[in-house]
Amino acid sequence: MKRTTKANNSFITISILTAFLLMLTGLLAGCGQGSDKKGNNGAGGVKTAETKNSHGSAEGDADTQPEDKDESTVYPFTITDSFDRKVTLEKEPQKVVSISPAVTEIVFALGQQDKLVGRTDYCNYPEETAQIESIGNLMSPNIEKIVDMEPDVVIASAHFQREVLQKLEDAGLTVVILYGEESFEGAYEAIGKIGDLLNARAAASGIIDDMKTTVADVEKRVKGKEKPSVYYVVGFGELGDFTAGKDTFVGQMIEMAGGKNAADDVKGWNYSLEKLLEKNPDVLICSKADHQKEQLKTANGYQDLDAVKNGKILEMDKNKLEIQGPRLANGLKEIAKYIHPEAFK
Amino acid sequence: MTFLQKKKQYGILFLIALIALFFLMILSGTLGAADISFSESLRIMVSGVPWLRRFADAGSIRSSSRMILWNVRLPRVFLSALIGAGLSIVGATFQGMFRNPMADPYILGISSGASAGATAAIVLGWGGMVSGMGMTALFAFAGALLTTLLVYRIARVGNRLPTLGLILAGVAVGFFLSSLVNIMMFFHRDQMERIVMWTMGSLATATWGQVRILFPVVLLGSAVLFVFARDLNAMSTGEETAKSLGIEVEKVKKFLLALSSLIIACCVSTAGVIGFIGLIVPHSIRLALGSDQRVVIPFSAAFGAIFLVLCDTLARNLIPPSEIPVGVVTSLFGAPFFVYLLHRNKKKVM
Repeated sequence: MKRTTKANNSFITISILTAFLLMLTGLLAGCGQGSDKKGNNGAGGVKTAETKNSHGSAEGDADTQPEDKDESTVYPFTITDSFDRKVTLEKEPQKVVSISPAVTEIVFALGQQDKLVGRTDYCNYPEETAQIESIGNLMSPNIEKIVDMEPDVVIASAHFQREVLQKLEDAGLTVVILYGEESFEGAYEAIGKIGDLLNARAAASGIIDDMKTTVADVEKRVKGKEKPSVYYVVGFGELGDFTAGKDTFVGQMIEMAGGKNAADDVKGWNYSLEKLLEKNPDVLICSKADHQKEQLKTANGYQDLDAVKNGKILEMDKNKLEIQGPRLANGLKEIAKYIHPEAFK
Repeated sequence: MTFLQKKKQYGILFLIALIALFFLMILSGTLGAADISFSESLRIMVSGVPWLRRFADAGSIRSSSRMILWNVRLPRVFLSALIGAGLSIVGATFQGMFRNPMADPYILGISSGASAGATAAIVLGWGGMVSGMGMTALFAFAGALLTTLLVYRIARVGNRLPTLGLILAGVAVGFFLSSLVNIMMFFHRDQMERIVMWTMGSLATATWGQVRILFPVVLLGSAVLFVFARDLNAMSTGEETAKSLGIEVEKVKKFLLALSSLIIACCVSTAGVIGFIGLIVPHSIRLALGSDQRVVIPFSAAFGAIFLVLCDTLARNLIPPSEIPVGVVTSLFGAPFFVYLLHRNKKKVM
C-alpha cells in the first residue's frame, strides 16, 4: 500500500471533520428562528384553488364559475395536493381512509362519515369514530390494513411519510395529501378541498361560512377591549417549558380572541420558566387532559404565578386549537369568552 | 480436527437451518393485519412462483389480497431475513476481529452516523424519493460510510490499524454524532417523533427494490466473510501469533472493516437501527456450537435471519393494527431468551 504523507493524512481527516462541522453549523443556522413548520417535505405550502373546481365562497370571489351554481363535484375530478401531485378521482369515492384526525373530523362535519372506512388511533372526535376500524398511527399506518380495506381514496395530512406514500401507490391506491398553513385560511382550504373530493361542496361552504361568521363575531365583540396577557401551556416540568410563540397559529388566535400572548417575544415553541415568572400572565390556558390544571398548581415556579393562585386557568380541549378543522372557530370563541366574559353576555 | 470430523454434521445442520428459515418465511407471509386466510395466502404465494403456478388456483382471491401479500408482506419478510443475516454476520466478524465479546456491528459509531444522516434529511425536509430510494435512506447510508471513514482515519497509525484505537475512536465519534442528532431533535421538536421512530427501526415500508439492493450485498458479503473465517480464527489467538502464522493481519482488518461497514450501512439505511441482534446471535451460536469462526459465521447469518423474521412477525402481529418498532421487539424478546441460554450453559461460559 502506497504510503501517504502525513500532510495528506491530516488533510483528509480535517476535511471530513469540516464537512461534519459545516453540516452542524448549517442546521443550527436554519434552526435560529425555530419556527414550527408543519409538514415533512419541501413542497408543502398553501395550494390555493387554481384549478377550475374552486369551492364556493360566500364572499363572492373573482372566480364565480358555472360549477358554483350546481354544487356537485364533476368527476373525473383532478386536484393538486400538498405534495404537488396531480391526483384524479374517476368517480365519487365511496370508501375513504383517513390518515389524519383533522381529515376525520372534517369528513364527519361534512356529513360524509358513511364513506369513512378507516381512521387513525388518534382520531377520537366525534365519538362515532370509535366504530370505524383503525389503521394505526399517522406516521407509520398499517399498510396492509389500508390496502385490505380497498378504499377509493386515502386522504393524509402532515406527518405523512413519502415511503408510506410510495408503498400505497405501489399497491394501486389513490392517495391525496392535504394540509395548508396553520391558520383559519388553511383550515378553510382543507375543508373546501375535502368537500370537493367527496362531492360535499354545499356542506363545506356551509361549515366555512359558519366558521367565518363566528370568527368575525368574536373579533367584533372583543375589539377595543383591554387585552389581558395569556400564556398557552404546551409543556412544563422536567422536559422543559414550551408555549406558543408569536409566529404560531395558537399565538395568533390568542391575539384574535382579544388577549395578548405572553410569549410574543419568542418565535417557535421554546420558552423559559424565568421569563414566564417575569411576565406573570393574567391567564393560563392548559389542556383538559392529563390533569394538567392540578399539576400546574403544584409545579415548581408555576405555582407562584398570579394566574395559578387566582385560579385563572382555562382548561380546554386542545384539539379545538390544534386540529385544522371545523372546531377551530369554537376554540377561538372559548378563549374569547373566558378572557372577556362580559362581551358575550 | 474436531471441525473436520464434524464438518458433515455442521453441513446438515446448516441445511436444516436454511430449510427452517424458508418455512418460517412462508409462515410469516400468512400472518398479518389484513383479513387473508391461511389457505388463501398459501395459494397466492404458490401461484406467484412461475414453475408452481399450475398447482394452485388463485383467481378467486381478491386482487387487494394478492397485492398485500406480494407487495407488502413478502418484501418485508425477505428484507427481515437479509438484514438479520447481515447484522449477525457482521457482529460475529467484529467479535472475532476485535477479540471483544461486547462488540456489535455498531461499535464503530456507524449507527450514530446513519442516524445523523437520516436526521439531517428529515430535518431539512428532504423527504422525497430519488429513483425509488428515499432521501432519508440515502443520507443515512452516506452518514454511515462517512463515519466509518472518519473513524478509520482517526485510528490509523501509519500502515497499521490498532483495534483498541478503532474501538475508542468509534465510541468517541459515535457519541459526538448522537449529540448532533439530539441537538437537531431539540431544535425541531415537531420532527422528533419521526426521528425517534426511524432510529427505533422499522421494516414497514419494505419494497422489492430494497430487497434487490440488499440481496447481493448480504449474500456476497457473507460469502466473502466466510472465506476469512480461518483468518479470524487465527486472529483470535492474538495478532502477533496470527502474523507468525502467515496472516496479513492489517490487510485483513482493513478489508473486513470496509466490507462489514458496507453491509451495515446498507442494512441500517434501509431499516433503521435494529439493535441486539448483532451482539447476541453470534454469542448464542457460540454457546450452542463452539467458537470456531468457520461455524459461527455462517450459522450466525442463518440464525440471525430466522431471529429477525420472527421478531418482525411479532412486531406487526402482536397489537394490530399498530406496529411495535422491530428494534424494540428484538431486545424485549431476545434478552430473556439469551438469559435462558446463559443459564443453561453456565458451566460452559464460566
